[in-house]
Amino acid sequence: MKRFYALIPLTAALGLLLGCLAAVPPELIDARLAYDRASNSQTRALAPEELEVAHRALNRAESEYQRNPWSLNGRDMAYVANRRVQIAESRARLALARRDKANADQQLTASQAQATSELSQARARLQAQEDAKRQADAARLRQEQDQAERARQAEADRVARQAQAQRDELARAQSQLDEQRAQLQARQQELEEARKQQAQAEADRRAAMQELQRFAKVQEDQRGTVITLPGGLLFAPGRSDLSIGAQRALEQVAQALETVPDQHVVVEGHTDARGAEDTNYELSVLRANAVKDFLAARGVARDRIEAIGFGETRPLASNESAEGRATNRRVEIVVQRGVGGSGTPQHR
Amino acid sequence: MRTILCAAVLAGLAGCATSRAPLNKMADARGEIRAAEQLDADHVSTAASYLSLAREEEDRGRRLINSGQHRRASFVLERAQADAELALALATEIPARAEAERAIDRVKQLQSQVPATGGSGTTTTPAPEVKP
Repeated sequence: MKRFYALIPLTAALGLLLGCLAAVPPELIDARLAYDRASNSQTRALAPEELEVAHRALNRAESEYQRNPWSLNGRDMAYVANRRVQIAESRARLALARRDKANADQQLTASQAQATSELSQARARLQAQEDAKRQADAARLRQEQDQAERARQAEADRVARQAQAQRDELARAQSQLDEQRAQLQARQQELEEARKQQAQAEADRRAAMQELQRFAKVQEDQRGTVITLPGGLLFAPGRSDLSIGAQRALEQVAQALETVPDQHVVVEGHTDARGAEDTNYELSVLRANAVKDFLAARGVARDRIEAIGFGETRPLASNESAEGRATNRRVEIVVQRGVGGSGTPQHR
Repeated sequence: MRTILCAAVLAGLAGCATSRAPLNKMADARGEIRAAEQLDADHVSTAASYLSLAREEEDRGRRLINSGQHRRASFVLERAQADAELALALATEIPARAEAERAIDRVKQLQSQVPATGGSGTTTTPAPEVKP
């Protein structure tokens, strides 16, 4: 028994010696290296608790190795320590990934918010542009409509004014036409009346002339109607005062001249060639004036009567015979055609 | 010498026989494996290999318990739990990193699409990069 106890220290010393001489198991080497790597990385900061667990596992394995280098359990402990280091590293990477993901999510949220904000701003700008454009279009349309309405109104006014002017013009024209019609009708009536009067005057004149033809010669020549009164009927020889028969004849002449009140009358005195020429001339003038005075006294306007003496200068027949001289002694009353009382008289 | 070795073996057998089965560690390992499975670690390439290791170690631990090697089974189950936890961590980490990268890509894409507005006053910081 004493020998047995004496062998125990010897055996222990032998084991210690063999332990010192034994090689470090690879599991422990891996665990040490892994722990050193993790301790010098972000794992220390990101997974300190897991790294502490790994540290304790490694110390346990180291203790077991110090106690028994050949211990199979010690190798398992080193194996476990290595896994603990790997777990700590995995946790550190997980924390890092989660942190990165959180940052990314935050940035994603910020970017999305920014994009949403920019999109909203862009939509707002677009909406504002569309609103402005729509308002501008509406304003332009209203302006165009207003212009069109004003133009239409102006055109309507112009057309109305033109229509009114045309109506006024038409009314004036109608009024003028009515007036002209009335005037025309009046003129026609006047004309008809004048025609009637003229016809009546012509009839009266013809009747008067026919009446004159009982004692006078009435003829038409280029000067007009010529009433030739024989000198023996009107005056005694050498005298210029009217005889009683002459006054009756001249009464008929005056009546006949009243039928042509607007025509100029020339009273021409003519003598035969007996006696002095100047005497004959003066006698023809006196006789013409006597006839003029008588006619004026009988209502024929004096200003339409002209008395002219021709003496013996315009004989109608030969002065050699008594009959011829009687023909030359005459008074011719020329009712000039178409010449009124103010007409130009014919002078010798 | 023979006597000493026999005594040691007997003492070891006695210790194993008397220690209790590490059922708690078995349950812990099983729980971590199920958590990894629920996170669909089988379809995350890196995590799937660790999950497979965890399952193998769980089976080995079960066999050790059945054979009465409770102490050894305890350490094997610790390995199984550690592998399962690593699978779980990777199954959580890798999709999170992919999601972060997608978010960063979306930010970059949005920033490239949205032109910088002058005068809006809003500035955006560059998108972070995921470090392994």
